[in-house]
Amino acid sequence: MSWKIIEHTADAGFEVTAKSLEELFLQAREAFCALCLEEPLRQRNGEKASPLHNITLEAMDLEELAVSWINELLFLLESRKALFVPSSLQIRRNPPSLRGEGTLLSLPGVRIPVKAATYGGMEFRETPSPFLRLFLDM
Amino acid sequence: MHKHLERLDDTRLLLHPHAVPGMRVPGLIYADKYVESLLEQENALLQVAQVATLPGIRGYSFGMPDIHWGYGFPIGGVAAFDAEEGIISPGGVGYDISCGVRLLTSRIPAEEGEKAMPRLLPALFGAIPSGAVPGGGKVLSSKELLKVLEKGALWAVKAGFGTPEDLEHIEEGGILQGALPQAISERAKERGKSQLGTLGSGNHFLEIQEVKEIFDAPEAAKMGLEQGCLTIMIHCGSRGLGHQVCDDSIKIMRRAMTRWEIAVPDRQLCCVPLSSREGREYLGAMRGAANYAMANRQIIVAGVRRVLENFFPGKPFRTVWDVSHNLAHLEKHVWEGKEQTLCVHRKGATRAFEGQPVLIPGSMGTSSYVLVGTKRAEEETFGSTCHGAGRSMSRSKALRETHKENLCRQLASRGIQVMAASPKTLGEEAPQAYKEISSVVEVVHKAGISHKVARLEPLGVLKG
Repeated sequence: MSWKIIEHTADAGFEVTAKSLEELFLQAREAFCALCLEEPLRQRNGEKASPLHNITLEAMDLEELAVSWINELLFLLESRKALFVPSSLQIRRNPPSLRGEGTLLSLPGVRIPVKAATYGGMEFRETPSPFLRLFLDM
Repeated sequence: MHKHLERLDDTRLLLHPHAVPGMRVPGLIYADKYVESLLEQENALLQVAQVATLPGIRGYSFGMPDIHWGYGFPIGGVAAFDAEEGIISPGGVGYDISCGVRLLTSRIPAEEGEKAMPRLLPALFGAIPSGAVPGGGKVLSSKELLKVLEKGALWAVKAGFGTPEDLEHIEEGGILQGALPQAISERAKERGKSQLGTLGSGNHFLEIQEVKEIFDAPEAAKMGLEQGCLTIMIHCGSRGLGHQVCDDSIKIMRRAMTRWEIAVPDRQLCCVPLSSREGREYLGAMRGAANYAMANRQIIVAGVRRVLENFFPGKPFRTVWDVSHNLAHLEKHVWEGKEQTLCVHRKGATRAFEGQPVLIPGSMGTSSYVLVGTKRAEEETFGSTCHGAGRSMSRSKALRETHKENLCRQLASRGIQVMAASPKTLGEEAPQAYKEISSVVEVVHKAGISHKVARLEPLGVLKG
């Protein structure tokens, strides 16, 4: 596991380290799920993945791309009651953008104690290896 | 940061304007020794200083005694900006736009409430959607949602949720004029269309309380608060719609700041001139979200009253007051001898105009307070005071240190029944995770920026 939950007085956050930007974003999704979903992340009996779902995001920098990525996952959970399960993820630096292909895993009755991913206390760097610290408003 | 603090008196600390480069005004923090000791744990002081660097700020960057680290602005932060030269910042309002409190009062003896509690609390739990489950509220058509965003609690009352008398006891009459639904994204609207009338999770709650102590009998009488009688307190906000408005605005403002040549020490402090297109659009979108929040509380009140009517037929529960504690208002204040229009950001802070009720919710199992605003608040803090206890412990630490069954037993032994949509919430929201509410209230009372009227004790708590 290359992510860890970090404590915060009012909210909660996570730190991720990875070998590539793609892995960083995938690991950030895992950490987000650990904070957001009360049950371990696995497909439960009777839950089916929907047909393909694509995510395309553009941002003014990679920090914004990371925040937008988590907020996109949150939006899908809240509005579609579904978790995006990526089969592929591509990150571009210039201009910063993300393209994810995958499916939506239906999670009826999912509880989402998160309001938004934020820039507060955020840290992002690409070297020596990609690192992200992100706080969620709970 | 502490070395830049100077104690002015028992309740005030001055943060000198050289604490960080670029401070345009000093900071003023309301704190006794207890609150001051908790300031050490946080970066909230740095945030007070950073807010003081923003263009057009007037007076002070304020920290109320419930101050703790927030996103950009601290929670418990107040800052007023000149309407022409100043900025507006979503970080000064927060993600839960118009999160606020409604208080209902009755003449029903608390003993009757206690007797009814074993059936009353589950009935309320069944009637009021709560918890972090998305949706669950009144499903609105696009046309209805537009009306909610424009008309707030007025829409709710016209739709049959509550009475016109309620509107007289809501800040701004339950409707913030100047909302711009067209400035609210489709994504925000999608998040909001099925959440109206829902409590949400985290520190949001519905509480059945007893008026335990009266400090100011004439003011309590004006508000209809009688010792030993039942009250209902509701704490919630604009749900996913407000969160999305904040998120969208941050993106827009980060891009616009380059054009306006505004640099901020923290991305979450992003802002634009209030007079700019982006500034006016955020103000309009924020007002729309605030209208959604006020309609949300109004619909919850209607649901609560339907349940209460079954238990206490014919006995009214009147609205004492409904006030937001996450909002920016354009207000007229006398500053440096002349009346000026200022954009007062209150994030985790409550309007406290002279004679206005101030509602300060406690944490689960502790007292809540009713205060009244003062002339001094108008003169000193642009009419602002604290909003609650404020967390002092992380959620995960609270979970680790709280045995949920013991907590329920402890609360029950004190006559407090609790129901929660999630057992996890109980642990996260344990009373020890918050500052001492009585200390917070004592600071604003002694400082004269609001005045204690009554203390309310919980009898039953419904958590999201």
